[in-house]
Amino acid sequence: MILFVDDDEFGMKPFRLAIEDAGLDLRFTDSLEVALELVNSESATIQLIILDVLMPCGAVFSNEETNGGLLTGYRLLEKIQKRRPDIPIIIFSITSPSDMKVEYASENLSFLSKQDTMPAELVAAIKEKSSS
Amino acid sequence: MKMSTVMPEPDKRRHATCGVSAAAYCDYFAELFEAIRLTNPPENLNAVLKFAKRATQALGIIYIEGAHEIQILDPGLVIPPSVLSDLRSFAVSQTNLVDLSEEMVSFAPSDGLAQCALSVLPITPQNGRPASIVFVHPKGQCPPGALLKEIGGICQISIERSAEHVDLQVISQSRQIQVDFLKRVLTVGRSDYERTYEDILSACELLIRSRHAVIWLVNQRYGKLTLRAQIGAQEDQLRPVLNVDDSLTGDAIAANDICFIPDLLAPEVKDRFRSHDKATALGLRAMVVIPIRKDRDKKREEIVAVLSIFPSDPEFVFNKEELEIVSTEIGAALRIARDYEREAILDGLLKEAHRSKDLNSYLHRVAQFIAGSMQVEGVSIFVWDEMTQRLQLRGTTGIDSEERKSQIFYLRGEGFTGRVFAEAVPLILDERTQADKRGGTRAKYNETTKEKLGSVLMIPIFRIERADIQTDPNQTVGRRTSIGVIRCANKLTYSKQLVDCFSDADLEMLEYIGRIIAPYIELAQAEDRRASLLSRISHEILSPIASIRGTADHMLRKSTTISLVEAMALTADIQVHATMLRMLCGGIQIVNATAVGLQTYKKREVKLMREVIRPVLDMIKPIARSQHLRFDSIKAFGGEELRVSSDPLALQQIIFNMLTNSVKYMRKEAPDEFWVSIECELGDGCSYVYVSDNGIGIESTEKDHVFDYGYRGKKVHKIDAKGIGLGLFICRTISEGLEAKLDLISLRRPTTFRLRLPLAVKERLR
Repeated sequence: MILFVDDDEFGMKPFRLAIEDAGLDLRFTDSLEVALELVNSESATIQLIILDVLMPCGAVFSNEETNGGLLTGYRLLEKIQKRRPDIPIIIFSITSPSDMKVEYASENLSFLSKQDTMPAELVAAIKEKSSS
Repeated sequence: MKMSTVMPEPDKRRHATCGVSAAAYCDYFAELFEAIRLTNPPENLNAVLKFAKRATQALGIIYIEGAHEIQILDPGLVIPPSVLSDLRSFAVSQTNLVDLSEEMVSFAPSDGLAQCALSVLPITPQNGRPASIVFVHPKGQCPPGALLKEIGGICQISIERSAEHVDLQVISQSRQIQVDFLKRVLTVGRSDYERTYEDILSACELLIRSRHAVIWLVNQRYGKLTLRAQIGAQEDQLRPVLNVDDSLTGDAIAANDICFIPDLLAPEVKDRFRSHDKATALGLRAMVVIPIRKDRDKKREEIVAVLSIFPSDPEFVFNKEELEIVSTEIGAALRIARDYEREAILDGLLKEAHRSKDLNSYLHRVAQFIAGSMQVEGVSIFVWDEMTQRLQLRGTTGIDSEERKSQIFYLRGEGFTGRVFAEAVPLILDERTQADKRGGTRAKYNETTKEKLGSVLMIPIFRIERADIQTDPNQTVGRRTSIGVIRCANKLTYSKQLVDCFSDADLEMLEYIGRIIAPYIELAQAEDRRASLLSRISHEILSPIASIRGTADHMLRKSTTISLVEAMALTADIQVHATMLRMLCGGIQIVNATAVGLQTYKKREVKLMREVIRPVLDMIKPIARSQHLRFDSIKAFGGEELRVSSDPLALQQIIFNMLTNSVKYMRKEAPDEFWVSIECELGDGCSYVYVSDNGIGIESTEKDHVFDYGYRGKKVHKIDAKGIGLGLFICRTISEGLEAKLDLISLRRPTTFRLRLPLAVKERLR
């Protein structure tokens, strides 16, 4: 299963469609709570996680922790990596890590910018990442 | 006695008989002038007369001043009183040199004087009383008239100088010292404002020679006296803080007058004199206490400092009237010194601004500067961050905290710091622990001083006040808005016993510093806001662009297999993204054009429903569908025939922004229950458009900020991290440009905004 976490469901529609059309099992959610629940409950089935960065902090984090939502994706990433450090993760965001002044280095982690990535390229990246 | 008044011609006088050469005259005069220069003015006349006697080889000289005073220069010369009396009467009536050589026999027949001749020289100094010099010389040896006249001229100058000196002497006894004191006081703080108080004490030495003198600052708020400067004693011999109520020095404040205690060891004052040991050690007997007032108004509340002077002269005579000058003029000197101080502070802060690379480093330097200027140990400067909606610590000094600076912040109204910011009023507290207790909020962060927590002073930093002349042309002062807080924890005094509390003077100084740094903070905030806004705008633009590109790419890749329904749905998605982009960019364009005064509106008669509401509904419904809302969740009522005077495209922007706001902030847990209504109605000479929804609502604390530039509500962050906080700001900007009025009239269930629009002319006539 591919877990796609992004608060803009409508905006991500072409990417969702492309992933589904590629025959991948996609689970899309705009809720941090649901995402964490899935990481806990369906840990074994999750092959890869796609994470947006700029998202509302919801009930999981405080506004301060995420600096007004600017760092929500990274905070979620930290939580996920604590539980499942082996899951490959693609940060899929408009903002680059350098914009956010954060440094994350991990073999399982890669970054793709939304504005420069076509749906097919995302699918290719998912396949490459999940197979490796 | 009959006396001749015949005046012989000077040049006919018997030069030869004088026996003095011209060269000798010159020598005499040179000597004479030197003597006058060297001697004290009161003695000048005597010196002149002595030299005149020598120069003219006179037997004696009689100096007559006015009608009464007679000075005989040569005690050996015996002149009978009757002769002197006659001579005086005669001399005072003369205006020219008179030679009485021939008359002496009849003038004084019975004495040796009969063998003498007299020359009477009247002199009339400008600032002295008329006088005469009578030269007594042997018969036949009358000095030349020119010499006598020269001598007369010199005497005249001497008398004038003496008279001047007499005046100065009078002044010096009662005024001159005060004049010197004033001159000195007027220069205090000029070369170095930090030495103001030491300079004041030095100036007071001119009035009262002291064994020891102290200047205390008065904290009227807490009834305390804090030692500020002293001369004549070691620091460790002094108590640095006194209570006004139980100290001898404080009595002068209670009495609101200059006090004199002639005997500090007297039983009635002994207990109230706190520095008793010091007095004994230094041999202090008496004390003069002079209150210093802020201005000439003799009110007790105006006392800002107190001088305690211990005279060194055991015979010191207390003259209260003479010391009044201290009370009034030092107050003025302190005001002048304060201006010097402010000038130096302004200069210092400007230099710091030039040396600092960003706001954080500047505020760090400012904190250090405050600590140095005000003798405050812990200083923290908090600045409001619009994006995160918190009061963030930006500059500190003298503090000790385990938390990282970036993690130290207050929310609006949180704790005392947040309250000072929210309520925009300064705060002085004498005990930090009390502050926490009273605040009811656990202290998040403390300035821990070297000793322990002392008193706290906080002031809000205000944005530059701009008058809103569009609303009120007569307005001169704008609304005060906080942009930060300066928080000081006071330094404890070296006694380690008493807490030195902040005074109103400290508050005044800190407010002055706040006013200086406010523009820098505003500038940095504007720069931060601009950078953040640009980042968010680019995000807002790039997101739909990424979707449009992705959708187009997806359609192209599936061009051979895609169904018509799917293609239409994806095209509709592109249309939604394009609409959002169009309205976002249009709104930003209006805001920018308005900011630089270039925005124009094309006002005309507009059919409200047909030209504004329906086109916006057409735009918004696909967006609502994209959010899984029911097709009938957005409805419009009334006003089919309403015509308003407005710009239809600008009005569309307002309605679109309000509707997208409603959709964005619906309660996600109940999308089926969500509704938005647009209701138009004719009002009294105007038209109203009400936009209501049953979304998450607006907190009452936020109602004053919803139209602010970049403002995003606290709840909004929980459900929507995107957005730029410009939607309602754009609405307000446009409505002002269209002479419309936009208000929030209901906070929740429903949340309702009301737009008041001017009616078109036809509508009004109808």
